[in-house]
Amino acid sequence: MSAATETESKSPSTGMRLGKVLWDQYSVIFAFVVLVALAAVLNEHFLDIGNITNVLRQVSIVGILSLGMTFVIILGGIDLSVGSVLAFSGTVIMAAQVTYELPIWLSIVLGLVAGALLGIINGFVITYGKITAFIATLAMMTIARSLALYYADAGAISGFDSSYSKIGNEYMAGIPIPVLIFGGIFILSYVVLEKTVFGRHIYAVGGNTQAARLSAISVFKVTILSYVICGITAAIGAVIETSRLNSISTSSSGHMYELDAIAAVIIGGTSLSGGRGRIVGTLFGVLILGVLSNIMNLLNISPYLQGVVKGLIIIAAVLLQKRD
Amino acid sequence: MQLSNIRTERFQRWIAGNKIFMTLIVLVFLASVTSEYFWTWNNIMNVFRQASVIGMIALGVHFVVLIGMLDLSVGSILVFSGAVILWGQNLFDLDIPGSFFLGAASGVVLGSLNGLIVTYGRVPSFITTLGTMFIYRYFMMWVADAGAVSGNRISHTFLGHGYWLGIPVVVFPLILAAVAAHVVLSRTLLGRYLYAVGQNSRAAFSSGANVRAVTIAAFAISGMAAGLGAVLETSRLNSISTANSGVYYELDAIAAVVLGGASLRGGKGTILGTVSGVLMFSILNNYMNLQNVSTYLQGVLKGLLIFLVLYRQNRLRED
Repeated sequence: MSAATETESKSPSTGMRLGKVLWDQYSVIFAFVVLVALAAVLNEHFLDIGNITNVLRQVSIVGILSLGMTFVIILGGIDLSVGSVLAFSGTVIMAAQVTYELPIWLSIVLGLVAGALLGIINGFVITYGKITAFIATLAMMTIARSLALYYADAGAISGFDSSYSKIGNEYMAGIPIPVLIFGGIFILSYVVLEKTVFGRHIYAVGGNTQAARLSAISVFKVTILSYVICGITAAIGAVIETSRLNSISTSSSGHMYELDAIAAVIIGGTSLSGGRGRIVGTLFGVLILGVLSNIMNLLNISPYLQGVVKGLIIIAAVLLQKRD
Repeated sequence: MQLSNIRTERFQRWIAGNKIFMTLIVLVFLASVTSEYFWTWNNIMNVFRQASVIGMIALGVHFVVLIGMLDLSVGSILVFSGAVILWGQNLFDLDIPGSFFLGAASGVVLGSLNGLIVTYGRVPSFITTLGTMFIYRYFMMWVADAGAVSGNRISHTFLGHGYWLGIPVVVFPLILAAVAAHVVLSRTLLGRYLYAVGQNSRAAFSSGANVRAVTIAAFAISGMAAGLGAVLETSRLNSISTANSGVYYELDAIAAVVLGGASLRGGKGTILGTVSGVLMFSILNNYMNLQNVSTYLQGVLKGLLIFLVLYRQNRLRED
């Protein structure tokens, strides 16, 4: 309340105030539009349909992980284990198909259950075990990866049913299936976070846990559910990752994905201290990273310099967005 | 009579305050009883040797955690400094002291840059160091084309493979650094201020601490430790891989610091605890190797150790 009046008294004109509000809410979208315009000018092939679908397809896996990551970051937590959970769920899926010869749909269900289960453990250790989210999910990161490595002797498990690779490689209505899945989960996440009571509760717990508890919100339930959502998105990522090559590499699949996902959420304007952020921001954070790497590839810039630029963007995004 | 009472009481309090050190001793005892090879001189020296690089990094990260912040960039600083050290050796025929100087100096520069962004840019430490983690590593990968940088000084490998008084040379820098860190934290003004800023930075500011300077110093020390860790890391193979060296070291270091009793909220934690945390991970790996447990399963035990030691330890936490 007092913050609002303070802003009013400081802002000289309505126009500037409107500008500030627009910038606060939509700066990531502005940045995205500018980036796309720049990319279109720099390279004539950027706006080709083939290239655009390529960008979308490339970001779909990390994009899905970022959507789940947004839930736990708004909650005031973090999940470092998503990359390893992806490898673990992928191992479950491929093992179910190859070793146990289960039907594809059942293997996918088992993969999703595995992701949800690891999410439950994360949530439980954080709430009931009272271990900081950073440390708890760091432990889960080593555990999940280690189990996958142990099962496959650090190697890969490859499937033989070619119909499974359709998920990662085929199109539906001219759009790659991974992109459709990404879009579907985005809409679902949007609805859950913005239109449901549960979504409100996530914001409440992230903003002020004590106040949320006093208003009879079950912090325990909300926390566990959020980490389950994060685990399930990692497992959905695993479905796409494994179906693309019909195989999972237990040592390299999902490696460093958690950092890319966290980066996308941060660029999207969500605050790491919890309680503030928008799922739409995450979508554009993902797209910014995707377009950036695509245009730098088109311009033949070293992939290693792309990593440097990614780091600069992470810091710059926060420098430009937040002002308190 | 009275004096001895006070002494026992003090001793009891010390034990209560150094729970993790006691856990370490129990772990060592169990390992010695169940494996005949564990408590041999060579094996114990191996434990220390394996702990040296992460130990050095963890000592630095300890300072950042103490003020309630994180440093995710130390693995990348290790790569950056490692390359600088090896190039310096090749170009200027540097010996071991020169390498240490170069490692420390490059680490201080990169760490201070982190500190400047955190303080003057007011970007949270997690985000700052996540960004510089990408920047430092990928910059070096770009320069070295993601390959390895190799040195040609034989003296450098003495550090990684030599012995002095029957102890691996690489262990001495770690012991010196641990003692130095302990002295800085317990006997100097900077140490007082680090705890003060971690506990309540506003109160520390009001009582005259230069919070910005203290913060930058913490990140500089963290960077310096990573640079010194790079000297030890490069001395093993006389080379560093810009793509693969130091990956996830930051997480190992942070895990060791927290296992050692520090809180990520700041203001809490001792060097003895952090060293114990590092040694615990090292002993766990060593013991499992002795018992022929698959290397791939070691991650599971590492994670479970974190869960077990920290589980409900922090009963007073609000959320």
